[in-house]
Amino acid sequence: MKSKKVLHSYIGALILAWLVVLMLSIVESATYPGFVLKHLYVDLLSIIFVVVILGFFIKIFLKIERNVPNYLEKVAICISIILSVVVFLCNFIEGISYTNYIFSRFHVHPKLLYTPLFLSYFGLFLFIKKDTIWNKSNNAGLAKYFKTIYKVRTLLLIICFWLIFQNLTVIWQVLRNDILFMVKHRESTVAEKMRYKVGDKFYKFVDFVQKNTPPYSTILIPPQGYPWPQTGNPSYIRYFLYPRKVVVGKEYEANIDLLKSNIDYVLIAHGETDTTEFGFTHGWPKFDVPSDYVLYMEDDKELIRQYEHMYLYKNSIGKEQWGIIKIKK
Amino acid sequence: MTNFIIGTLLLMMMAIEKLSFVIIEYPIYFSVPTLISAVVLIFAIVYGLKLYLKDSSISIKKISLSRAGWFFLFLTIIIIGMSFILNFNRWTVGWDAVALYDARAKFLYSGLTFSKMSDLSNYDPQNSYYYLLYPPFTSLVHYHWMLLSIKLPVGVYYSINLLLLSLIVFNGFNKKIGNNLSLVLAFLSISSISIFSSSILEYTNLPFTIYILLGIIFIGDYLENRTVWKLIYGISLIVCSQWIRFQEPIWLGVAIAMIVMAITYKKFRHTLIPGVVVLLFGFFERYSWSSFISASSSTNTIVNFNLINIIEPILGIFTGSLFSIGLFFVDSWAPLIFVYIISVAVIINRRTANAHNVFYLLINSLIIMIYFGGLYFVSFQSIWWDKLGDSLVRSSAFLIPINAMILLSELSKTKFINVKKR
Repeated sequence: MKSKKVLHSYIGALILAWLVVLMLSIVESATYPGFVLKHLYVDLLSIIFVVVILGFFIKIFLKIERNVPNYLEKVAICISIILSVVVFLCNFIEGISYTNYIFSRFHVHPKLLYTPLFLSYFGLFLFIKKDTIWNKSNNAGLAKYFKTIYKVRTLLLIICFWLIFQNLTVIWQVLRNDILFMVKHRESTVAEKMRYKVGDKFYKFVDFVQKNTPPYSTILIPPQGYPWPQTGNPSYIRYFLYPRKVVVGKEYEANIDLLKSNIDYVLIAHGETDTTEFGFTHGWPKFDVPSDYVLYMEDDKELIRQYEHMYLYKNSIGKEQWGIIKIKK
Repeated sequence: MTNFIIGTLLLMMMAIEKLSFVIIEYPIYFSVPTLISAVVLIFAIVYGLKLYLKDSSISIKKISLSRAGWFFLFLTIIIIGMSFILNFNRWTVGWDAVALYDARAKFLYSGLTFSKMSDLSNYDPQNSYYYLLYPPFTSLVHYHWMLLSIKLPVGVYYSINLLLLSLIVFNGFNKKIGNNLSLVLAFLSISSISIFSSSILEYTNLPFTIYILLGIIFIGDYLENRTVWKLIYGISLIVCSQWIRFQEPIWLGVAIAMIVMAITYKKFRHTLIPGVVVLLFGFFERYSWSSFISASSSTNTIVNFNLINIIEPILGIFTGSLFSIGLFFVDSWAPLIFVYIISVAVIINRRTANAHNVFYLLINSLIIMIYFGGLYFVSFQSIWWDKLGDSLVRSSAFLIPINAMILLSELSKTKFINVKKR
């Protein structure tokens, strides 16, 4: 009797824990990631992990099947079916509309719904009884539905049509801009097409650098990261500047002795994106550079060549500047 | 016959690229393993050709289609046409193509060799391994495209790959599911965003997909009807795919699947030796590129194997890392992962242990485990592991036609589908 009471208390605790994590995961998908952590000071993923491990342990070692209430089995089946349909519909609707449609319309994160979906299937694993799946003695159970092959094949047919429709809509979304560009710019040159794809700012700048530096020079470039995803990426910019050598600098220092090294030029790069990362801010270099001259790239103007003995960072604070500094040797 | 021709062309192309690599790197001695693998490949092609020509059952038959079949053929042609039109009208712009594949071709064209490319990253500690990270096949194709002064953008090569993929899928599976459903399958495969987007990016994914897929189809066919030339071609294609993409050991999954089949079922004992052959040649092919990397530079790799890096992931199982990586994995692969799981369930439900079912069940399961295991392992070594989601989906695109074929083969049995088999 005592052991049965203990078993019932384990089952009760498991049911409660499963329902709680399920509700929390649904709440998080309807609010924002980290909602549970912010308000309850506990990481949802950690709670789920603990519940899953305990659930496996209780299910496999304590053999709770006979003591699980029958209604709970039906609750688990209903929840898993409802969540499956909801997740399927969300993905389908988003696929035929646009990314973020579900969130903007219904304020639900479709990707976060996978967590309660997983938990509902886990609930099925915990609470479904063997006889419900397949009762050999009277040939009953859920498995009989799978034995009715045409129902499974109808489901596969639906999946097939869904995949066809989704593929066509997603491809259209991907191609739409490219096709419109092709139609509008039938006579565009290779350079213009490249400019459209890699970005106007970057393309203009790298073209400027190509024209104003010798082919075998060595150039110091900004550190790799936003706002310099292209100008600061040595592998990427090397494609445009080769056979020039590129050396990566740091944000507040050159990371190399400019006077003793073979560096011929230093880029002046404001940053081609508004986004930043790693604590970087716009404008580079953020250090002084001994210079023969500085060549600025200006829109719709003649190139401005300034003969300065030292490029001073303090003079460029707050300005959006692009150009090159010829190192004084 | 179509898949034989495509297989021969793919293998010949691989042999040519390997030989050009050896010529470019000459007289560097550490390209010798590549020379050996190229010679073995040429022997495999010649022997496979000889066996194919001996096969008296080869014949060309007329293909008949239903109205639905013609409709999907039309849609397939539209998709391939779109890829060609886009690639005709643009030049290399995909990020990795600019930074790596096309860049290496540009460097080769200017006279730089692969062994010297790592010097370009001397002042770039963040990416010191970058230029030797991927094997040279894609860059060599781009280089030869430049060398031959082909006026068309190199992206057209990838549209040709898309066309080949549709032919491989149609011819590879039409005996199993009929012509009409094969066309549905071909359409579903090439219109999936993972595959279609690869056809408009000059990356390694699409060539990798066709080599692996054709290799798996050939090996699957061999296991059913013991056609030896298909085994030779299948092994060659799968093993050589490492020369396109190196990080994903799909050849290992295929080898293990064949060995497990032999051990588990008496009737599949004949797959043991081929499985071991895949394993041995796979290791040698891997060695041919990895030895070149180690000998020509002190390149870091994405994945480092040492005691700490092995123990950490094991401990991670008990701290919840496995679960969080698992969620990320499912999220990245969704909804395809559910299609893969359903197809595994479909095969298990058939309860028929024929070569086709067992092989595709093992292939599916093992390859998904390899991808998940690889991601899990890398997550402990790199902070950017969560950026790999899209890359994993693109590189595993060969699973799409295989799993779609399994699902469609269930549909081929229903009275609602008018199936005309070859």
